[in-house]
Amino acid sequence: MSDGHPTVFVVDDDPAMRESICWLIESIGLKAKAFPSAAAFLGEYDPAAPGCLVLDIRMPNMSGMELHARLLEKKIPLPVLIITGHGDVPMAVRAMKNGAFEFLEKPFNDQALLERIQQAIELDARRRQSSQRHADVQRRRQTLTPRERQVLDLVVNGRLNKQIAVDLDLSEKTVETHRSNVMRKMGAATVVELVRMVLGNEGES
Amino acid sequence: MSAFHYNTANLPDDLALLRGRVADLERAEAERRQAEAALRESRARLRTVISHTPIILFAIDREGIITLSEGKALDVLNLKPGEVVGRSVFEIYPDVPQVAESLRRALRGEAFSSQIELAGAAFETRLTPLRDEAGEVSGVIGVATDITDRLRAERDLRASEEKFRLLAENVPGIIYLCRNDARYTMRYLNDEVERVTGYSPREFLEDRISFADLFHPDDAPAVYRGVNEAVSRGEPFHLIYRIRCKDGHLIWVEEFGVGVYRGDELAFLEGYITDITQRVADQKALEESKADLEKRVVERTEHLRVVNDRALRMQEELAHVLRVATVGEMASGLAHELNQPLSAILNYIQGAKRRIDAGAILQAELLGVFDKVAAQAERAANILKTVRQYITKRPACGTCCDLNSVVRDSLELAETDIRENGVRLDLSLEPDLPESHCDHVQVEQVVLNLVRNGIQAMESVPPEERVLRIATRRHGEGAVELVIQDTGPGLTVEQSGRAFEPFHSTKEGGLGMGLSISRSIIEAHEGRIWVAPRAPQSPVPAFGGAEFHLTLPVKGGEQ
Repeated sequence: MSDGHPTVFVVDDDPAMRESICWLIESIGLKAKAFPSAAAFLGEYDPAAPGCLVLDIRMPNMSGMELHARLLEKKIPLPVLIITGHGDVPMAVRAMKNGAFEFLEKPFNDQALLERIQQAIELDARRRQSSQRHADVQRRRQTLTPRERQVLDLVVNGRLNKQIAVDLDLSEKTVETHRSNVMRKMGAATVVELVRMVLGNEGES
Repeated sequence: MSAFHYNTANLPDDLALLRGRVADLERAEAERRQAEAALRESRARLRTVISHTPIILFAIDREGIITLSEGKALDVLNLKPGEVVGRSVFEIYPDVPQVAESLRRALRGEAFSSQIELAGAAFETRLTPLRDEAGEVSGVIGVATDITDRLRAERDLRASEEKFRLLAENVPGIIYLCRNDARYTMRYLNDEVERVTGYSPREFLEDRISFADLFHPDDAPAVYRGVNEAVSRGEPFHLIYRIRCKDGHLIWVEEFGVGVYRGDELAFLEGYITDITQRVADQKALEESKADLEKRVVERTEHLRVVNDRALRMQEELAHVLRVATVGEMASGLAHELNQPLSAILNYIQGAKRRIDAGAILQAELLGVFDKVAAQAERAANILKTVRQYITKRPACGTCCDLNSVVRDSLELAETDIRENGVRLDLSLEPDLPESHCDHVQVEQVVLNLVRNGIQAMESVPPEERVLRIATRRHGEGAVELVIQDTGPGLTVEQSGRAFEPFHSTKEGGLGMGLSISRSIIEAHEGRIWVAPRAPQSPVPAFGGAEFHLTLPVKGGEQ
């Protein structure tokens, strides 16, 4: 299912709706894959597959809302675009509060849908990239010794070498050595880069 | 002569005696000649016989010199009788060592037969040593029979047998000859039996295994019966049954067999058995795929039935919605239903448009999309048809109803809304109204819709000012009238003129279907519905809102 190319997953119980949405999505060269039910999607979806999810809010058995909740539960950060019919707006608003990427009322403007889909795909790609980066930073951090980790934390907190030496009861020279080891192991060229690497990582979800 | 003393008196007797002796001699001479002639004749006859018999009669002396050479078979060697007499065998056939070897062997005193080939012909030669009075071998006599034809026939026969054997060994099936006993004791089997059953022909021929041992227990009775019935009528038999192979697995075989009769008596069975397991499996697969196909047809039919049921259910639901919801809610449901095909149509069209713009669509693809769009348009039309049928087909279903009870039921349904919005009711229902000719439920929908509209219209006024006045009264001779007034902002002249137009709504998020459908229902009952515009600077502030009227013909009233 995952070949690296983003896929727009379309879940709608109405065959004409899901088929026509796929048709529309494919018109701009994106890959689309349709599922007739939330269960069918959950049964086949590989979290490694990038893309986004276009979801009908009203479906028998498991509604779009429930599917969205299920994805959140499983910590699958796939961006979700909710499609609503007339009168489902309050539900859609609730979905947005739960972190849905967008909701669109049927019948929707194709331009709006396609633009939002592309944005959702970009977001997904960014998230995947940053989680990749996060993993990299984490991995590098694992290579630090406990002492080096302490030094890193203090550097990130803006402490100077002199202060760190006092904090840890070390000579300034030793702190400098630890610090240069940290920079090398973390692959940071400057302190600014190091701080951004560690903090930026925490900032992004 | 001097010794003869003739007694003349005896002379006649002596003469007679002499004559007798002469006659005897003559007779003896004749007999001898006759015998000689007979012998000559016999010899000639023998020579004739020999010269016409396909043999060579020969005699050879100790030195290998041929002393006799007779017989028709000399022709084969291009020799005449006696032609080689006086010549040495060793000279004549120096290239055929067997000749010299055989001769020496016979000269050693052995009598024997052997086969020998000379000049392209084959002979069976019997050599017998001749011995003199002292018992020494003095020569050899021999008879050579030309067996070329016989050998050729034998060779041909062998070749033909070989051919059939090869054929039998190479046919893709078992060829057998067996007794018609309980074990079908085998007399002949080709090697194919081993390939098919795993048992060698030897095992069968030595009765270490029998086909009777291999029959599937369920099939054995049918095999015995089939064979016996066929041979008793003198007909061939054709059987299909299972046998268990040496490795334990079951295979299907097909057998064509026939009885071999000696006179009237059945001597053997012979026939041909082939492994048809694959064929049976193929057939089974075919049947299964047929069954699968049938199953799929059934499933498809079932699917269609489900779809149909769903359509029916949707229709029922829609009808249900029409019954229990207000026309406004009904319209909302309807809008949702219509949204699906309409959205799909839009998607198809926009997707096609983008492809056309990009020059990336085939005509066939486009036509396919047109079909889909058409199908969705039809779907939308069908939804509307269902609604229209419901509204128009049951205008007056024969039930008669009392407008006052319709009003009471509607208010009961709207009770929660009324209470929650703090709306005060001002009812003035004229007692003893004639029954009108209408469907209670449908008119109830209309009234409920008007009541809810009124309540919603008063959301913008303070609760203490929210009054809904509902009145019923006679409207001329043939009709009854209902008036519903609220204390909301009311409708302008312009608004009231368009109130019943579909999709015209003054409410936020309103569909503009409620009044439109209400009008359809009332008009289907041959009634009328209208709204009085807000009076400019209404002198009565309490009733400055909208004022809706509807009339319905009464039962038996004027048409």
